[in-house]
Amino acid sequence: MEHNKVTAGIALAVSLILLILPRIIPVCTGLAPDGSPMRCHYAYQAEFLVVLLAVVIAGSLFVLRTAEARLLAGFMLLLVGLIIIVLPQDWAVGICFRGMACEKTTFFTVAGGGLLAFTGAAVTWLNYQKYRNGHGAK
Amino acid sequence: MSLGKYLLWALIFFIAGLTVLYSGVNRAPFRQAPPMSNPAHQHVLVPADIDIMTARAGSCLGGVLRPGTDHQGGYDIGA
Repeated sequence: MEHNKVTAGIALAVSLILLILPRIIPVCTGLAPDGSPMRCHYAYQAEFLVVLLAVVIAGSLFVLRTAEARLLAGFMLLLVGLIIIVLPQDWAVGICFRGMACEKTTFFTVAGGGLLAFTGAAVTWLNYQKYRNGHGAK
Repeated sequence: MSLGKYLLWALIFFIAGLTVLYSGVNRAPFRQAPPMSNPAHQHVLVPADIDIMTARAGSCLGGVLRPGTDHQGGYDIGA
């Protein structure tokens, strides 16, 4: 029970930090020569939406009672963490060139996404054990 | 907190997040570009245009205007 609370607390804290990360460590604020925002702007708009979902899923870990439900929420958290890591990659949305401001933001975003995915995996693993032993018992 | 209550709060939180995203509060503001620095917003006469205008002004009596034959899609001066 305590393990669940700790992992849920870590997941919620990481999600909230990721939510405000572009305010703390801003991405590129300049505009492209044609007046449109740079590539990293769109990547972090998408990140914001995904992190909103991560906050809701992490918060649900405090409310869900059965191991089966927590197992699903943990697995969703793992997938959302992986999406957070993937979005700034060049083969997904991508960010600007090396050495620009968004590179620093991306470092912390990928670290946070990794931590979120790891926490989701831990929640999944802990609740899978309970689910296998007690078939969805608390 | 019951699951039903949580879902309601989660929906409110999500909609508030969408509002924040729409208003741009989630990110640092863009640096303002100097006014009229975008070439698309400027009206510049290139030398070729100046030549055409000069030719039109100089040969207004003899020239015949034909629509849509120059590269600008306007009138061209015939012989």
